[in-house]
Amino acid sequence: MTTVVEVDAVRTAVVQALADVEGLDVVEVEAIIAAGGGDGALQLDSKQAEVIIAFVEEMFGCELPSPVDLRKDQFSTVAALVDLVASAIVAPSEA
Amino acid sequence: MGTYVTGTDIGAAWLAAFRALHAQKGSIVNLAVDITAPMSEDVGVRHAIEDTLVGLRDSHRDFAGVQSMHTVANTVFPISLYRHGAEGAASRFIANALKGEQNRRHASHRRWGTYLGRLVAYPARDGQATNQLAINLERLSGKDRQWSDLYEVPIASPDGDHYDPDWEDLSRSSSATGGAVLHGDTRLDPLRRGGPCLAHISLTLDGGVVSMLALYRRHSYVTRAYGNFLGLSRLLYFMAHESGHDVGNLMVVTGHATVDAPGRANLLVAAEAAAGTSTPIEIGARPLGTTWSDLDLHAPADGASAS
Repeated sequence: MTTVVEVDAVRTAVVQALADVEGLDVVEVEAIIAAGGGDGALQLDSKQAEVIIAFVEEMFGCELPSPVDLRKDQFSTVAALVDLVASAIVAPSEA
Repeated sequence: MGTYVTGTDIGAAWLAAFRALHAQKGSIVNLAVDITAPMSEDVGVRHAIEDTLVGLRDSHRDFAGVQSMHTVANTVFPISLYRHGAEGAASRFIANALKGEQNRRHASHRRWGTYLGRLVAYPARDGQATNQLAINLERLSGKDRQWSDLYEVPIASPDGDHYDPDWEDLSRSSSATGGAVLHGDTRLDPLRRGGPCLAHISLTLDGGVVSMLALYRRHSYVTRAYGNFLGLSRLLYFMAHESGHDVGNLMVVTGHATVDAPGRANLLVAAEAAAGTSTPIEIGARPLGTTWSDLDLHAPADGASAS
């Protein structure tokens, strides 16, 4: 099933999922991302990415690729995960 | 005749095993490796192995997919999901592991699954998934009233037989055993190669100390063993710490231990030269925002896949 959403909603979902994985508030995660240089700078381990993707799959009711099938640069930052999810579920005009 | 070696930390134990393997031309049937202080490793030995792996990856097509020892360790216990010291760290780790399995289940490269998957969602006889990690943790913690009363319970089968008391140990109130099965049955895991090599994990609680025995049917000592020792040590820490106990020793027994790469003598020389610095292993996630890149193999020319 493909769900049409906007990129902003994808980023919100990824950050929420990261907060869930870490047991932190979204506000705390946003502060850590900002302090670390932004979405493209915060590094994620493949296992963290796997769990975040699973959370996002559940949020949007879709099936997404697994890190085991991806190159590291496709999942290893918040920005990369947003791109990954957006390329799968965002409407063409938004992507 | 089987072979027994021992080492204080992970590096020393791996080196002792590798020396034995080198002496026996790269192949030992029934090898037991005893790691007396599994919370420590020798990063010199680890880097010597990884330098060898980088050389193999860049020069042999058969080794194009080799992984760092951190990535190998992640297949047993991914530290990035364990926020050590945080409230509810154990339950969050288990919940995250289960969640990740949902994504892994439809991956193209899922093969038979992962060791972590077998630990938290073992395919039980009744078609359900058995969370072996949660069951064993609860029993080690003594939170289960029935377990506390029947403290001597072997958990050889995760989905049955838990409540059969071990009659040989009934009189010893400070001792218990636990187990986690990593293999499915021979119908579920028919592959001769490429299936799970780690077959079984036993945990023993004795005098407030949890020790681990891991059984491998086959173990590759260049590409996998050091990383597996690391992952098992982290799993041992998790089980001991989260149940309120101390960490004991780790023994890894292998039916067929092999040197699975060329250059055995060179690796032995390099590892021996690099050995000598024992440091604590990482046992939990790094603070969010910290790099993980230092745990990768040196970057390949055009990227690499995840574990």
